[in-house]
Amino acid sequence: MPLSSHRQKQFRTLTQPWRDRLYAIALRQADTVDEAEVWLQETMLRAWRDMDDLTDTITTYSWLLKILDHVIADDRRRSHRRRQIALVVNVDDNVLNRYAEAAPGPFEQLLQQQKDAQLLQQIRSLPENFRRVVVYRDIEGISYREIAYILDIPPGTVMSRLSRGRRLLATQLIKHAAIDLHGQQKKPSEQQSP
Amino acid sequence: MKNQTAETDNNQQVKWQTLHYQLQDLLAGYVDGELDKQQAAIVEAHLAGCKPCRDDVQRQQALAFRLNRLGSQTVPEQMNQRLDQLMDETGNKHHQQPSWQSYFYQGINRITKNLRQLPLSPFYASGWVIALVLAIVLFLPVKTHTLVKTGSSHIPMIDDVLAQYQQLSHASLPVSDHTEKTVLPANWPDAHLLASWATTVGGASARVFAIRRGDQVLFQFRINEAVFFRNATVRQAVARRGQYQFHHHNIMVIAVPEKHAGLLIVGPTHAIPAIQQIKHQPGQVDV
Ligand SMILES: [Zn+2]
Repeated sequence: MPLSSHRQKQFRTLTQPWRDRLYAIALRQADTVDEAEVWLQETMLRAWRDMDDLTDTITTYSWLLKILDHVIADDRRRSHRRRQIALVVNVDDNVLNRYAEAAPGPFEQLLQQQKDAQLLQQIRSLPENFRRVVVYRDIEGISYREIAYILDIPPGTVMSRLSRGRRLLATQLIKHAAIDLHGQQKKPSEQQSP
Repeated sequence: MKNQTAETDNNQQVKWQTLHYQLQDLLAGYVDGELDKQQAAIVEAHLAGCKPCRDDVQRQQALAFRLNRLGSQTVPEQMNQRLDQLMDETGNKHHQQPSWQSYFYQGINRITKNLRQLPLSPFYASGWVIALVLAIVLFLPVKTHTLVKTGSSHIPMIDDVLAQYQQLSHASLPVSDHTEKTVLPANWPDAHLLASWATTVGGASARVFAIRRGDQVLFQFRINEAVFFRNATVRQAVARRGQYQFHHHNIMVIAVPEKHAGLLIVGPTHAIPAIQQIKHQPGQVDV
């Protein structure tokens, strides 16, 4: 029937340009390539089903991202793999200051030396709430307003989660780099809490 | 006097610490230029006197810059093809269902939004379930797709099963958990069990049995006895005629009591078995 094929064509035009980016985001959160593929397929099926929900007020990309975000959350809920809820609020300044890598210059250097895969590994290990905002904002460059829409949270929460997520990620990177550099044994000058 | 000064100093320190922690949640916004003028002024004033926060800002800038340059990923060619194929199949499937486009769907879309959070996708199902899904698409007569609007019986359990029936005739069946031992609550000579899964009817847990009868598909819902007898109209109808009936276009729901449970059968009117045909199974009540 022409109506249906018109709909199919429309769907393809809308979604095709975003496939790669959605896949990249799925991959950044998945444990395996297969898992990312399942998420991508499920996202497209739901998008097809709910195409009428797409209005002029949202961009196709953030609409698709919101669907993907739900697909991932549903999958984790189903497989009881919900990651730990983060309680980390503030990283103690004193802890960070014991590491030479925490100073702005050395930290920048550290980042340049990190391979993409290493960085992604650290991002993947972030608690879910923080990981999502860091991925959406810093990797995908999505605006606060759109992230708030995708995650159904107020823009202020996007900001605080991003602040904490970046701080946590920086801390993880600094600690890892310190271990790599000085060997497992050498710890910063004082005993530090994990 | 000296004591007072110390106390004031201490107070100042506490205030400063509190501000230091509070402002940490705004630092991302400062880095990304997302703060309003007033917030930015407060943060800047604090930054001038706080090295840890200045360091944090610089680390955040460096991190954002580095992450933005992460290499992107593209969908591998074969994966792209699989996705194309999936979407073609899905599109063509709905292609046989003219009502996909109709305003009916948009209405039902909202009503059944929660239902559709169920794992309906074939990707979580095993091969035979996918086969069943295809079977449903083939067996459901086109007539049942020309539904107009969800009719309301004003009885929650009836509306629930009607909505589920209509919704599921447009989607894949949920993953079945039935086994060879699963017994149909109500049986009749040409009833074939296709699938069974748990659901909710009238706010209580219930069990659905999808049945094929000839080229028609019907659903049986075994529901909680309390839910079944909650409505006065249903109670009176059952007392008088042994069953309650609700018609909506060419769809019919019948409600018949069972021992310690209630049974709702929904399907195309002409496919609903006559009450004399139905043989109740003593089967266990597992709702
Ligand atoms: Zn500070």
